[in-house]
Amino acid sequence: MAELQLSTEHLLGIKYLTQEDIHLIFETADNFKEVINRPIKKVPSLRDVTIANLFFENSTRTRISFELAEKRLSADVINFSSSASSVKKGETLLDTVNNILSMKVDMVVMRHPAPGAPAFLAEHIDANIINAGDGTHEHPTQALLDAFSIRAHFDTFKGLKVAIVGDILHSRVALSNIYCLKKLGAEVTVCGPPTLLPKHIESLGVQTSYNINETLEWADVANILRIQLERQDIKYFPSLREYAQYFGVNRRLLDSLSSDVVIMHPGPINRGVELDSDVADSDQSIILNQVENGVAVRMAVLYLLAAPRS
Amino acid sequence: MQLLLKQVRIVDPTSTHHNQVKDVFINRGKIEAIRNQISGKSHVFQVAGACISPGWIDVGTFVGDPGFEEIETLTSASKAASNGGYTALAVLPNTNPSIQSKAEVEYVVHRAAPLITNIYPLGALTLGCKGKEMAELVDMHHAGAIAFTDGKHSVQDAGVLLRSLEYVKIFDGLVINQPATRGLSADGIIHEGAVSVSLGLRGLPDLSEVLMIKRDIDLLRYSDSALHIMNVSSEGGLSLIADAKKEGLQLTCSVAVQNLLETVDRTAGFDANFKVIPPLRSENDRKALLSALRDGTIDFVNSNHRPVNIEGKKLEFAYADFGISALETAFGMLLKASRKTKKLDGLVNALSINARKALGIPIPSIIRGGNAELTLFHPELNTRFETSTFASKSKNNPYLQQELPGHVLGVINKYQSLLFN
Repeated sequence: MAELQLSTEHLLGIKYLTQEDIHLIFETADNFKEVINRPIKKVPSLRDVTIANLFFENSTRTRISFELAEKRLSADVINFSSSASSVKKGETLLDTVNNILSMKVDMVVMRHPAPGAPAFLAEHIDANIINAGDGTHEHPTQALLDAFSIRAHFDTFKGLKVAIVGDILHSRVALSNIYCLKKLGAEVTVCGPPTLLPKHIESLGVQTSYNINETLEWADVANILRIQLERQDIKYFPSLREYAQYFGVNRRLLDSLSSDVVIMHPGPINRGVELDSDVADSDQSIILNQVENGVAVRMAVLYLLAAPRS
Repeated sequence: MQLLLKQVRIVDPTSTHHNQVKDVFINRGKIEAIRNQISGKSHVFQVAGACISPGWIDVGTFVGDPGFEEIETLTSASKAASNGGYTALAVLPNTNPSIQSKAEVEYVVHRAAPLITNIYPLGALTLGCKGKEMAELVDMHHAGAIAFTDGKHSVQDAGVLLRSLEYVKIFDGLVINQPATRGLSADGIIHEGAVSVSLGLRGLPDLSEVLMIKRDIDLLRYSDSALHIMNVSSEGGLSLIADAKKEGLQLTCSVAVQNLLETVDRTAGFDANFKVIPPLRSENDRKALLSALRDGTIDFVNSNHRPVNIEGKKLEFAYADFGISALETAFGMLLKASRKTKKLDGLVNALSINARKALGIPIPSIIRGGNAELTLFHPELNTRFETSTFASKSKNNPYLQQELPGHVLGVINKYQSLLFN
């Protein structure tokens, strides 16, 4: 396992990974998933590696998931959180990060509201950078854990039909998922109100639909995205009520389909808006598997990026 | 000042000496003699293959004087202009305070007087360039403002633009507008298309430009005035302009040199040096711009000089300011973009002649007795640009530490000369 390496020293986005990279991450994550189900969940792989978690935007689950993954690998961890408003200027970002790096940090996990911020950081500082979400650009570990979770249910990605439903325009999860699934050979349809589907999205090799019934009838897997009200400065649809009626996924809709669809959601769920509770909590939902897999996948990413150091 | 230019090729479509290799003698700011051979002069300039043309002019240059002197002053802009081969700049009113009354116009004229560069202030169309209340246009005109524009800010209110177009007819004035419809481009960062989608960045659709060009042409027709559309960047916009010109409207347009050379693909790696307004667009748009420049739909080329200091550029892509500090590299960029057409006439029309025609500035033709306002250049030599010799106070230029075709040998203007050979 230790001989194998990723083609990149940072994880800035899925679009910079090869298909082999993705498979290597999955195989490594398989091993770590076994590890975290042991009575003793900790391994010494990243002993003496220091990781800074820099969150310039609110996050609960991603931050906790990374921190847990780091601790399971025996890394030393420091956490820094700052609201977006107090860090507007890049010199502050560079200064902040350089300050932290002066204390001999090896890896940086960063969430930031500006698309491309991790790429900017990778150019200017000497540490492995892991993008934990940069604005509306990418959220690579989410896409990896989503695909890893799908992989547990299907033999192959080739020809697998995956629907991504909801606010595609404001979603880094959607973009990373599209890149990841396309690289693995799946077919992708994005579905939502036209105002929430970016123009030119077809250039990424996906189909578009405004009809949730048709889309779910077509799909093997549906990844239902959170309506990102906090990232909408303009009104893209009239009301949550109307959205829930025409794009919300509920039991009645699922029962009307000719076959079962695997339901995913990156969390946190707006229950009753994009997803009803009787769907989220049903057997068709693999939402909690996603969370569990998140730790294993992030362990794999950290381990593989740190491997050349040892 | 006396200077003899030995065996220079005269590139000046407005002169009877066009395309001839001559000796040109300059004395006390005038072209005293143009002959096959002149000798016996003490100050001689001679470079094999050198060309001279009427001094180049840049329209819509951003200079932060007054108010943003840390970015660019009139003095540093003049040095950068000389390095780039320009003898004249029509500078934007986006200063602080804006160039919005006689007082600011006179400040610019006064500060620029000793400089080798002719500086022509563009007056603000509206107070503070905010697009609301019309500024004192007649008064500024008499103080020396050459045309009127809100510069970097497109005029959003159709009524404001219409009244301005009508009002400047008092003095046969010219209104300049850079087209962008705010409601369609407010949060945009790069050209809307496959690249913006792949980076998760908000797009600047060409529709934003096309809609405003359409509106502006309608307002121009209605007002029977004169309009210049500055820095057109889209194929769609060009076809509207071409039709309006055929119709006989008093319409001119220009292009930013960056849009002739580069496409949106340059931003795919989040390189903030290519974050510009108007945005770099598709290869189709770029080709359409080049062909419109050749067929005369586009009248002239701007450097679109937008100096930004390092604190404004060395940032996350989304936060970085727009612009290239382009005065010094514009000629090289234009040559590189138009490499297939080796014709120098077109270049000199685009850099020197047509802008003066559009703005009503006398053309310093290369004729005996004419004013010596000249650019000396060599189209076959290359230039390597270095940060250490870059005269602009802002170093935001993606061609630094790189080579571009063409070489500026010097400028002559206002009894002064700067020769670089």
